Amino acid sequence: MNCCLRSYDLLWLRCTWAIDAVRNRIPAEMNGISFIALAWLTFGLSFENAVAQTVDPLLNRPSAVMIDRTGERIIVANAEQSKMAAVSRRKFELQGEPIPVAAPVLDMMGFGDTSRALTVSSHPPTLSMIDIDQQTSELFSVALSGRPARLAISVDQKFAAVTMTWDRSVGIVQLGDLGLVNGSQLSRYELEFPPKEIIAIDPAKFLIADAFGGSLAILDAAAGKVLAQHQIQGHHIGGLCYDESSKSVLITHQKLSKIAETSYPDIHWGTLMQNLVSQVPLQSLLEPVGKISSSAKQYQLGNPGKGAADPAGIVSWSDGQFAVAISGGNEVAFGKLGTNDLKFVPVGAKPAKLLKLDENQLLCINELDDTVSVISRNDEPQLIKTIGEPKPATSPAAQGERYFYSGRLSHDGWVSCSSCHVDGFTPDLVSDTFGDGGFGNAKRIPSLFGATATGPWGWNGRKKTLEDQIQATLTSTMHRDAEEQDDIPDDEVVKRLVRFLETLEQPSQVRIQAADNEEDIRLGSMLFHSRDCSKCHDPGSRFTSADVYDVGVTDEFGQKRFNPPSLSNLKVRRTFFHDGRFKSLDEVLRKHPQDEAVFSDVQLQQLKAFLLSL
Amino acid sequence: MSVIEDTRFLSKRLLPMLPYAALQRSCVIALVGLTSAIPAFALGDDPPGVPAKPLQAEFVRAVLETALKHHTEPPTRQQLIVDVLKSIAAKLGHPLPRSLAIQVSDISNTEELYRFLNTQLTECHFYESQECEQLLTDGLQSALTGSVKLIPRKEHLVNEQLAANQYVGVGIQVAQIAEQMKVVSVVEGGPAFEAGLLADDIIESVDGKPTKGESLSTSIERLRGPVGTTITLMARAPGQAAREMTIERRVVPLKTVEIVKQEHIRDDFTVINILQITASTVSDLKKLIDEIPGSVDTIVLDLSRATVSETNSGLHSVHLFADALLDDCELGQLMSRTGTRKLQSEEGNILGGRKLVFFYIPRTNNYVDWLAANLNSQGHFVCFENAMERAVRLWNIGGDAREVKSGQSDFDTSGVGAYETFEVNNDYYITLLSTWLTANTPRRPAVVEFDKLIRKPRPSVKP
Repeated sequence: MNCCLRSYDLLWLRCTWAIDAVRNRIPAEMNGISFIALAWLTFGLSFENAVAQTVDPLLNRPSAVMIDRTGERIIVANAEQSKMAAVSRRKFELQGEPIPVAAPVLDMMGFGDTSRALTVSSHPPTLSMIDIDQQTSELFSVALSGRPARLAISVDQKFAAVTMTWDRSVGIVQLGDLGLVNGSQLSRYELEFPPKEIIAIDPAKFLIADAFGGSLAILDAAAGKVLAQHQIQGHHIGGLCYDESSKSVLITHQKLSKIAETSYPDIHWGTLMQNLVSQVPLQSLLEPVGKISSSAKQYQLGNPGKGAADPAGIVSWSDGQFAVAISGGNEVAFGKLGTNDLKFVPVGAKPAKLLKLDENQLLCINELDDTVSVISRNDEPQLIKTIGEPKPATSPAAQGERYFYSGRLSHDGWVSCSSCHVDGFTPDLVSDTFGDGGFGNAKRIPSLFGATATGPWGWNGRKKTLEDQIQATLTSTMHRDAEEQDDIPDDEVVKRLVRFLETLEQPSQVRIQAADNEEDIRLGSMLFHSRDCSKCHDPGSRFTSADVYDVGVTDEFGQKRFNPPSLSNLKVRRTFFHDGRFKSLDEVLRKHPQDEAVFSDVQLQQLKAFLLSL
Repeated sequence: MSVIEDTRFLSKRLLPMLPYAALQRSCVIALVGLTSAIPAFALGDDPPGVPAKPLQAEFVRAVLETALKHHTEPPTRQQLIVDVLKSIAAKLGHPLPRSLAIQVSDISNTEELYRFLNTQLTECHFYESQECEQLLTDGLQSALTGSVKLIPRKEHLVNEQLAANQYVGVGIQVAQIAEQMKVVSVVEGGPAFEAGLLADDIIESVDGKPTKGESLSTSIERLRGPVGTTITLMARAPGQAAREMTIERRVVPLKTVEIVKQEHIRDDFTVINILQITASTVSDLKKLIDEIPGSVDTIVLDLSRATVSETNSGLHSVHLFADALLDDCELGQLMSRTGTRKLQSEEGNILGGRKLVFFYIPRTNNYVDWLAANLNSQGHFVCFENAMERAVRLWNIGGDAREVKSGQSDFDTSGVGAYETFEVNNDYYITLLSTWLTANTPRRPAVVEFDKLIRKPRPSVKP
């Protein structure tokens, strides 16, 4: 009886709202919601039942959205299930029938009239074409040389480009009039940095951004070469978009100060970490040489009192307005080029990508709670609807993942764990934290892949448990606010973060061809063992060991004994040693002070080949 | 000695303060690692001056556990307990069993360890001591590298407010002079300012409690309170009758920068006073510069009144300030235990492509001197000492300064006050260098290689 009453109350509330909606002439989309409420009333469904029915398996870690040929359907790809969802364009409601695909989709883009789409998947690494109209799965596919990250189709629709972060390359496939055809070939372009975000510019050029640091490259697919490489002032590039009206590229990224320290004031005043939109004229990016910073303009995405950790996807309109997904703040920020005004709209967990639906509306993919937010812009941007029921994180690891990407772990939301340990890896920058004895001796940010198995922690190896290390980070680096601690105590957060870090395995470097230097690798491995490298970098312990060693380098405090870092993923690393003093593996091998015997050039080559294969 | 209500911590370096909610007295323990040496002191929640209440065993335990959890180089629990116990017993003149270390190392259970500690402390009459907080702090000090201090939670809150420039209070600085509480200064625009309180006024009572003879810190504690609450002061101007005023506590942001609004300043100039260089100055200056119209192509920073505390945090704030103004250049060198390292300014500055001119009076502050040397070495124009008067006059004249020669020939046609004084600069910097080197080495030693800076060619400003 009680239950019935409660349902009735809720329905009554919904009804009032529906009437208000009609009275206030709320946009059609809102009325759509009120119709649902009326439908409940008509059919006498209880609220609880309605909730049970709307829990939707159609969205499972949404990764990309597109509008189909009819303009009536929004297609949402999922990174964790082999089916995509369709959403009605008018009412923003999920449609019952999922679209089957061969594998979970990591990124997707409509091709031609968008009756077809290109998708990328990781097991095995493939670029595929699917027919959206026919709801059939793969038409054709091409094997990739590494796990794909993002996908782009050139403006002239003649090339598809796929970034492969851990392969440090971009794959280019030539497209026919119908897209991928039987026998389409992949050309692999190795870059000087691990790439992630990519957009098409010019007829056949792509702008490619660093997955962790601040490098940018322009790749000309028609000419088959990298035209230019640049460096932005910052790291963690989360989104790119081309702004037609200003003929410039908007880049969302962060900037970690080398001079600031992880003290409360430096975080509070936004001195340590800035969350930014950089506006760079396209022309200066196309120049093969020259600094882009001199022509770039920067817009701050946070103010003292309100940080905006981890800016990701960005879109802009012809009137100069732009929207940025603030993935560490679960918000979308609206700003205007040339001004510093910002407005924020709350969305779901870890908003990552944005898609303009039309002049007035945009979609925001919330990766971690399996929803897509529909937002209207104008002077007062607001959330119109959330597609899908926000899913709570149930397992400790999933809860830990949300914490990892949440700016709320830091004072005023300036940084998340991922701001420095970008997606668990490292931007190879140094940061002056309190963890190694005090401020004034900045240390390189370590990668967290496999970190649960590589104790002790901290450069000086003083933290014997990972829990202690994370607790110290929350307290003395991120300065988690007391109100948040009252909500969920640090201990709980730390436990869940550890569970999440356990899931961060070494990223696989899937390569199709066997390495052409296998003999070098074999000889390098023999050298590695015969020269006792394995004493400190034990292959049985992920190429590290649980002790601290004096290798002849000291930090600013005179500390000499450091815990050796794991040698995994050296291929995508750019700086080495506790302070990032060495900039290449060659330099390390030539100057590693522990090497008593000097290696010959040939031996160096072999050792390097072995290390890069780890 | 004048203690300042509002700003006494503003310049203090805020070290990680580790709140420990479970402490019986609401205290915060601050542990400092290897680098800094700040004097250890201990305070309860009671205002200083009031005899401290005896400590409880749980409190001691909580403090020790906090130290173990958060210190960068924690000893073992047994070692910590032995060291703390030894230090306390020695101070209280109580003999400890010879086999103390062995006894303690035999106990592996945490509960038992603390029971043992408690028994020993009771035997020492530690809990009866009036100075047990100090004893405990000293004990920790003997056991840990770096230094330790216990500060009340309220103090911690004030520190955070000051760091965030969100200080809650009435906005006055007070001093205890001849047993009287005297207003040293009043923050412009603050609640006390609005209530008509003036510098040199004497505060006779706070909320009905007379201030005469009371310790300054006790009175300051009374002035402090949550935002929105009120206090009633009886205050009088020297030689006048006291009047009662009720003042609401508000957030009193302290100004670090301000735009000088003067009628005759040319349109293409904006003069900004730098009042103090603190953690918030860069952020505040950035905000001001964002508001300056695009037609302004020169920013004049008046550093002549800039205050900056000669502490670690002051130096750090000046580094950040220099980094914000300069673009990709060397900011001198920092000295550390293992030699010197270059301090490099990062690419980009907050000027938005504008020219920078700055006013400055040498030798007012080591750090401002350092800043000026860096700005000057990067080709920014400097006006100082005797040149300053002339420059100020230039802006007061108004109209088109291009035509103003002020009897001198050394203004270039852009109207920016640039002087043929670089040779003088060199001499000056050499003097400065020797002053610098003979001055007390700051805690975070910084030796600036002025010599190197001087040799850099400066752009010619002569047409």
